[in-house]
Amino acid sequence: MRLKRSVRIEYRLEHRLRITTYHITADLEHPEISQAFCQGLQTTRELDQALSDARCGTSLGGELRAFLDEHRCFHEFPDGAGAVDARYAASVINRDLDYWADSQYCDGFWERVLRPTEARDLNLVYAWGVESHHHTHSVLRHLGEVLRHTEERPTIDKCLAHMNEEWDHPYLFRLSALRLRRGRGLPDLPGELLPLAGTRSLCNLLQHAARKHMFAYKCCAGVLEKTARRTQETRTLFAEAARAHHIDYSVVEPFVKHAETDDHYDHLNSLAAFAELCPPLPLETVADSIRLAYRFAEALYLWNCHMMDWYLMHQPGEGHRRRA
Amino acid sequence: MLTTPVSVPVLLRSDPGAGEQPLEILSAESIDDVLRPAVESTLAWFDSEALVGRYELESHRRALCVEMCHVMRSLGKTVALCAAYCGAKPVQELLIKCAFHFHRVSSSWDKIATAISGRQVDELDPLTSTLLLNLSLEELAREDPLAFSYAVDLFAPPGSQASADAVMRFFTSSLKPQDPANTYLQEWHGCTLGNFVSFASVPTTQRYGFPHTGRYGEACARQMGPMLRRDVDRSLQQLTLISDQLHLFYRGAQLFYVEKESEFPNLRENWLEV
Repeated sequence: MRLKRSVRIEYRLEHRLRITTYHITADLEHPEISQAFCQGLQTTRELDQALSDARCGTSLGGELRAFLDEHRCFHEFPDGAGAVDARYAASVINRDLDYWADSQYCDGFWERVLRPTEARDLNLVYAWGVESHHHTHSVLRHLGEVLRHTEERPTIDKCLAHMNEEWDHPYLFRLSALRLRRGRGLPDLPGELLPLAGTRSLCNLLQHAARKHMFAYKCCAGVLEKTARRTQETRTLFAEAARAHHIDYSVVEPFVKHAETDDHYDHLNSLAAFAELCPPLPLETVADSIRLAYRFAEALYLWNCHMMDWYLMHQPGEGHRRRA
Repeated sequence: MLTTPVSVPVLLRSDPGAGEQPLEILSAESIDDVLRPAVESTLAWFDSEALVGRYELESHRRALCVEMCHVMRSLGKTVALCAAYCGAKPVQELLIKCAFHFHRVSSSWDKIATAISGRQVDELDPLTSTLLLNLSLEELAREDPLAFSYAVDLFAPPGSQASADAVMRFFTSSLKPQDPANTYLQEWHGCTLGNFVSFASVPTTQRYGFPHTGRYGEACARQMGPMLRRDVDRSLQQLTLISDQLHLFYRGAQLFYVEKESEFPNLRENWLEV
């Protein structure tokens, strides 16, 4: 099992090594860890060989292998292969998507949604409703871009089925925004709402991925779909948010409904479903897809920041843009 | 946490395009009166001297310059896309010669990026926020040639003194006078204002081959002729999204270089190994 080239192994102190990856820096301690072992692993990149060369026992091997595997430190695609099975590629990337999806809820935006420090933080619940209204509506645009680049009947069927199961989700988010406004004695939202540039950018990036490859597109879309995969946790999260802001549960209830609906249609694992339709993928396409999924995770973070920049300048229930 | 509002919504203090007579017909001059101020105020986003403080980018000025190089060197493709998608032949010809110009000067931006970063340009990767700005421009190019032509006026089209100077200042305020990149910047500035290359493919059409000199938005409005106010309002809304996107351009540099301490320059990776 070869380590990815970006993984760095350093010997720190007696019996301790430091692993640095794109995601984490961690120190591990074990009586069999030696300088020779760390140097060997950093140089050869092969865990089994480094263990054997340094005459380490099975205890270190087992523990270290489990850690490196959990943090996706091993290169998982065959060296020199021209193409790989799309379903295999999906299974590898799905582990990355789970990781990024979890990290989406660990930022300043969700911190202020769940643990508000001032009254205006409530407007982030409103922002989530309004901007997710736009984002979920854009499924017609980005899945439409997939359609534009395929002539395959099974893919066309899959896209239209997916659109059919999602086209009306924007109403759930709009309903939440309306309920929040009504709760504050504000009138309903007239006319057509317009997205923030950050919201529109998410759609642009998904369209860009769709033009590259359907697989790349689903890797990106999967980052967000995965955020809803723990339906029970989603229920808890939004109930907690409602309590923290002293608002009626009915305001956040449509967010939960959205996660439950995605769960019902099994959209939370749709990368695997779309991968069934893909022929073997060139490794360059897999690498591009991983890159774009990283890009999308970063764009989601930027989106959350943009919502804070804009909506925290407004009172709760305000800040949406609309066409006059 | 930033304490002052970091969004600088030059236009978006209120929703743009609140036309009360959507079916009113606007002349080319009136269209220009609606859209020109959006470009003029959006040019404030090129005042990097003022904005690096706001976005805490003082020690990342060179990184910000390289990010802007990624935007400038992509313009040839984006403007050509707009010409490809636009139905009107005169507008297509207006834009395609502008695209040829941007494509020609893109080698200057490659040299500037290399001089600032110390890396070959094909080793560099734009930040995600920079990619998003480029994708927004591409999307605008596909959707709305009028709004896009006004957006082009932000990025120093041929012969546009105010815009070329604004772009120039964006860089020179972050570079030392003896920086080698200054030579290439001067070269680019001269090419932009000189506009002395005809892109005719045969001598017979030589005189038709020079790109339009001056404001592209105004030229596009003139070529497209009178329009309904509601369509012009829509273009104004599209144009202001670019202003918002420029906020995200700086915000992204702040998030990645300041908050996440990403290394400069941002390099291409083999993502199977990350």
